[in-house]
Amino acid sequence: MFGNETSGAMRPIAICLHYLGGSAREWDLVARHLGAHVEVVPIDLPGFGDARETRGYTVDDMVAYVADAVRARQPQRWILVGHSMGAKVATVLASEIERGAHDLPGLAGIVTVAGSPPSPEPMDDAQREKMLGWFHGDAAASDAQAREFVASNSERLDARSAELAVTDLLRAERSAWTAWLEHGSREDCSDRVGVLRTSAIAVAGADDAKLGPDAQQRLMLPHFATAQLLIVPHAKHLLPLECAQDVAGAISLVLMNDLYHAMIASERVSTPTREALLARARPIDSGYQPKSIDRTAFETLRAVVDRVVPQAGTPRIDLAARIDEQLHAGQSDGWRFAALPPDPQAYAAALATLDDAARARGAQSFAALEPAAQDDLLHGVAADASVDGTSDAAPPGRLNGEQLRLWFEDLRADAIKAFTLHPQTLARMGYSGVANGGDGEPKSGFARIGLGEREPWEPVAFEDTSR
Amino acid sequence: MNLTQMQTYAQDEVVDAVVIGTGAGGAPLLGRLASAGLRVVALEAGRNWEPEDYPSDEIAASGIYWLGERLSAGSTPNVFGANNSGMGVGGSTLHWGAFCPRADARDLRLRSDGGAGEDWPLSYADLVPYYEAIEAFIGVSGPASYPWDAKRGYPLPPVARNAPAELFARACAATGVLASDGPVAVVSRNFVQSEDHVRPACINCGYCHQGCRIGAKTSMDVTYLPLAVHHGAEIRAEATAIGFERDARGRITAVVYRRDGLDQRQRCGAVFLCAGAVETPRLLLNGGLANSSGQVGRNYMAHVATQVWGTFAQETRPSKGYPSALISEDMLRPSDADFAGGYVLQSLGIVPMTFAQQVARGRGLWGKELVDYVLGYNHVAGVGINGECLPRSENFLELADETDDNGLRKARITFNAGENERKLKRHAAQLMTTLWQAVDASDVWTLDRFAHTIGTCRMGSDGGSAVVDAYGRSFDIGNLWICDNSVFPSSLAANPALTIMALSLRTADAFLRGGATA
Repeated sequence: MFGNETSGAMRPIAICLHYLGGSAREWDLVARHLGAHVEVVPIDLPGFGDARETRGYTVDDMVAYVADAVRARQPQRWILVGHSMGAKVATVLASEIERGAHDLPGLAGIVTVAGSPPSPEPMDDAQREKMLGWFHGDAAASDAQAREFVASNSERLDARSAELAVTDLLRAERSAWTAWLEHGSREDCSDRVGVLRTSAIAVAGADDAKLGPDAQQRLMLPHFATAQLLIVPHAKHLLPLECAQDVAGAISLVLMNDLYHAMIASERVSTPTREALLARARPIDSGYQPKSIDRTAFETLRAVVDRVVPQAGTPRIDLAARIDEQLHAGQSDGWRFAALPPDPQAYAAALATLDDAARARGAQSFAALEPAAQDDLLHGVAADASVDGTSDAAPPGRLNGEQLRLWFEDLRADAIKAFTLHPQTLARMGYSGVANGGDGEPKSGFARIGLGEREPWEPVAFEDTSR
Repeated sequence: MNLTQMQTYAQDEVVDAVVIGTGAGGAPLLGRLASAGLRVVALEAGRNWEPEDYPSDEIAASGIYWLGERLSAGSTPNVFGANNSGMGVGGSTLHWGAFCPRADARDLRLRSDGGAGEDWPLSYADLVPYYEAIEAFIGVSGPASYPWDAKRGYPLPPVARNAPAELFARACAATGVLASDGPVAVVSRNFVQSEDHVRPACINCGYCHQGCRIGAKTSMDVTYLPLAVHHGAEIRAEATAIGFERDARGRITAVVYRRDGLDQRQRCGAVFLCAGAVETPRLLLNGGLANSSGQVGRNYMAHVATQVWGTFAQETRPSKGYPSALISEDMLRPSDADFAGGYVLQSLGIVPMTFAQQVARGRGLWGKELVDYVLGYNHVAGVGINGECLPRSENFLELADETDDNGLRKARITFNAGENERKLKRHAAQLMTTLWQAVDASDVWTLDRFAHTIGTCRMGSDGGSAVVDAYGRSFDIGNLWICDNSVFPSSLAANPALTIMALSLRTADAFLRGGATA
């Protein structure tokens, strides 16, 4: 976040679009977590919440409706946040804005939350038929159906939120409900949407059966040039109610990334610096195949790196893939511990040794251990308490305790290297050093360098602004 | 640097000298020999850079670090790569920190004064005229009157103080330590380097270690190398020296180097080996040269470079500004020392990846603690030292069994911090912790660290126990001269580059006085 833009005219607006059967009220908790630095503008889509009487249930109808609502406010800087059904509306609207179909400047990003993708939504016919049959019997039956919907789509709702969701479902216009199930969810807008330049975070509940991490990875992320996936553990589908803090975090991160990327694009950053940063910002494909170590070792590496540089609450930068690419490139960093074999062999042997140690503790692999047990094992490695309890000589393809300790030092350095210089991390740090003067002469550099001094344009650490 | 108008020499022309390496050891003497009318060719393993091309990015800038793999052994294995040797026209001065105190006179006679360490075969007075000439030529910023040397004043006003420097000044004032703006080889105002080149004043961008993009920082490619080229020297970039041809008497007749994948040779009358304290002995050992003393590779030293870091309530934004603007030389001979030698103190700013990796390696943090601490980067500041390291037989460079892409065996460096280094470090860590506590730092921690590669081809007055004489000339091979930090008999507390430059000019003068024909 940037210090001079947290309030007043430049306060960004988050246009929030709810799920099928929800309403503007589902964003109340998110708004509370965001506090003063973002203005949350939740919208009741036609047929829902206070817009129950409003007609126009197709995707295009809803897109036009939201565009009008944004136009009425004329925000200078804003983002689209769409939950489930609302995400499809958000992505289609964003694609139209990118094509210049609306005069709506200032769109800084998109957050999709358990988003329904631009393509037909993955939904089995039996489920669709079942839901189409809901809400036209007696009140008791409808109430039970609403409760079933809420219960099956959430994992950790407090009673108040559950009640709110049930009430919203029961006050929805039934023709809007059926229109989405029969038509809206089946519309294929994927070609229209194409690949969006707008920066995005896709939030997914780890336990969401139909629109969880896998569906987001397959159906949503391909529509963005730079989208990142944020997986929320122990959550299903009603994320703004289940885990409002994580959703609020994603909104802040998209805004932060947008400002940081604006700084990177500015003339304060030199061309070679910008190129290095943008190359690093490019997400790594989720189907990444390891090049320097085998698949098993790579899974172990991912698990170890997750413990060394945990990334809860933010979209995960695939640090293990970046380490693998570095190993594959064979580019030495100028030295290695003489006690260790060359880097790729050291990594392979270390990871195999960790898997051995996990098996000795009754797990199938290091990755299969509980996090606490993983940490316990790694603490032993760092302290050179031989993980296998044996002496100096390591069998072929394995490392002894001292070697493993040295390797773990290398690993920590490699993991934090990949993490620190990623633009998302630099943005969270509020790091201004890359904007130290662009191309040509004279270069701007810094004038305000003393204690507590800051140029007006310098970013502030994410944690400092949300504190 | 601009090499388009450079004079070139044919490989079969016997040039007066080939200089291997274009850093602080090779460049000043290249300039002096060329100015004297000699035909000289410098071989540089790295590429030629334009300052504008340096990325302000710690990973993308790795092209200026020497990344040929070295094996680090011993109880305190040394970190190389970005921390030490450099690559490119200008050598490690492309990424050096430009902190350039002079050697303390007492450090050159450590053994005579206290029985520990080693004496140099020259005195401070021998170096002073060179120091003065270099400071004026390269543009050193600092106080007009230096607190620890009444005779010394720096030609340019001090560089701006950043947040760590302000904290250091306050901390020293609170604890009775004398602090001063440091001697810094960064021009604090526009500086006329030559008739056609004005180096602009430092803009406080903070990326000294990734290559100065405006030439405000002294590196050889904006100072001595243009001088050398102006006077007819050739700089052959991307040419890695791999061996020597010798005549029946053992004198070197040509330097063999690899360029564009081909082995090539430059015939020459003399060789100046200026590749640094790792590559210089490595080249000699690979070729089996100049080692009748058995001292090539021996007595490897690394400065005690302990740092103390703390977190401050106010933002420090430690990348901004020249990183080590303040100095104290009060601890060159602490009254309560239980060790030989001493150390210089400096304030420390830092760029983020260097910081994060130091934390991950040196503080041993991982998990949420590591991430949270790194994200608090905008509030940290450091103080550090550069301290004496004694030459000892258990610290040495040898050849490993593995070879590099050029078929040369890699260097394996064994380094074990000794009792003296441990005591010095303990003293410094205690003082620096006190300093940071005096300015209300929280989360104060000490990073054990070593810096600079020193020793391995020591100079001396006796060919039985030294590789080169007091002027850098090999005792074994009359037309081989060595000039870099490998010739240091002891480490000195001061950062080495300024003294290397002084030795470089001194070596050139000796050669010009007649060493060439002896």
